[in-house]
Amino acid sequence: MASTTKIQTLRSLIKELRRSIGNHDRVQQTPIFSYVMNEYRRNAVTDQQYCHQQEEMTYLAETCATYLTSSRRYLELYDDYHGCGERSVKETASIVGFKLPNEH
Amino acid sequence: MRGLFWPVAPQLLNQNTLIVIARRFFPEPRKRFFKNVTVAGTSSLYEINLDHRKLKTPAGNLVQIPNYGLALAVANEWSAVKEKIRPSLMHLTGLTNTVLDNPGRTTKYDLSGKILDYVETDTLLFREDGTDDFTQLQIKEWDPVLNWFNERFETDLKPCHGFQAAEVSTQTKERIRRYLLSYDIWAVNGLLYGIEALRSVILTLAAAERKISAVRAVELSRLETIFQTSQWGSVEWGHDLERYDAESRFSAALLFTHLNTWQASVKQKLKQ
Repeated sequence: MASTTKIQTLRSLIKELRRSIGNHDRVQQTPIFSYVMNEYRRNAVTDQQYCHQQEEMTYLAETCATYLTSSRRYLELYDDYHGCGERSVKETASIVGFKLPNEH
Repeated sequence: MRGLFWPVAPQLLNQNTLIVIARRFFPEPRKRFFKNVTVAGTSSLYEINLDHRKLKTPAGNLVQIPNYGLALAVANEWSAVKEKIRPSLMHLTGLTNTVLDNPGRTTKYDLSGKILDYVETDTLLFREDGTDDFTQLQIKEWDPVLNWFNERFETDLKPCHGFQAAEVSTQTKERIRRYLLSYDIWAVNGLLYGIEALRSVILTLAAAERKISAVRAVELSRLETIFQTSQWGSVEWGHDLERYDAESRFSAALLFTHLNTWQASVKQKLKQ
């Protein structure tokens, strides 16, 4: 696997992690961030190390990013469509892209 | 009254039968009651703290996770809670609870037997009869994975047609069982959850062996839906919601399996 893909996977994972924590927190200070970075650094190939599981690590990071992304999108869609009671006529019309005529 | 009950009190206090505690069912999800989520523990077991409270399972056991990466991932699920806690969407926490509480009193052997029951009705083995586009699509997309599976596990799974389920030989089942038993109970629970999300043993094991990515596995399992929506149009609150649900369930299961089998081994190069 090319190293660009690895960095891209890492970036997408960090991006999702940043979205998942609160607005006032910094992602760099969370323990999960340091865990991910440590794993990445430890598995980087250098002269001194023989790395057996670099692709496994990237696969894991990719799965993790998928999990965070899909869960977030699911919740967004769920909040959009479910659990807000019955829709008004105006809201229903706007879902299918229509506007109600002016009422006055 | 007091005198009447007194003789039986020690028995009541020492009884070993299961005590059923009435719990309130919360139709409205609980609001977030904590601020900080931290992971604490020694090198073998990790606990999750919500402020000063320890996270517990529904049965009241302490959540103690033997893997640091998994503990961090579960903690992240809790710190990602915005306003309301929705346990049904926290798949990693749910899987951890299942393993720790083990409500069905299952063992690794029971679980792999359950997984093997899914092999005959695997999604990849059900083929459309005829020669239309969808049949071609199934051959093009599913056959490479099926062939890889047969090669990797030395099995002879063949697609079936019509209503009958596929015939699977005992030898094939034993080979898959042997592979499943090489995992521990945590990982097998994850695999079963993934299989139930995709309705496919082949795709789940292919993803567990890192042959296909989680997104690709979900895509392959939803091949017919994708084919039909490409012709008739997709509905966001139906098809997309279903897709993200399957994706998040499956990737959580895969993450759970992989994190539990994650072994760090660094080998130093020999000095010349």
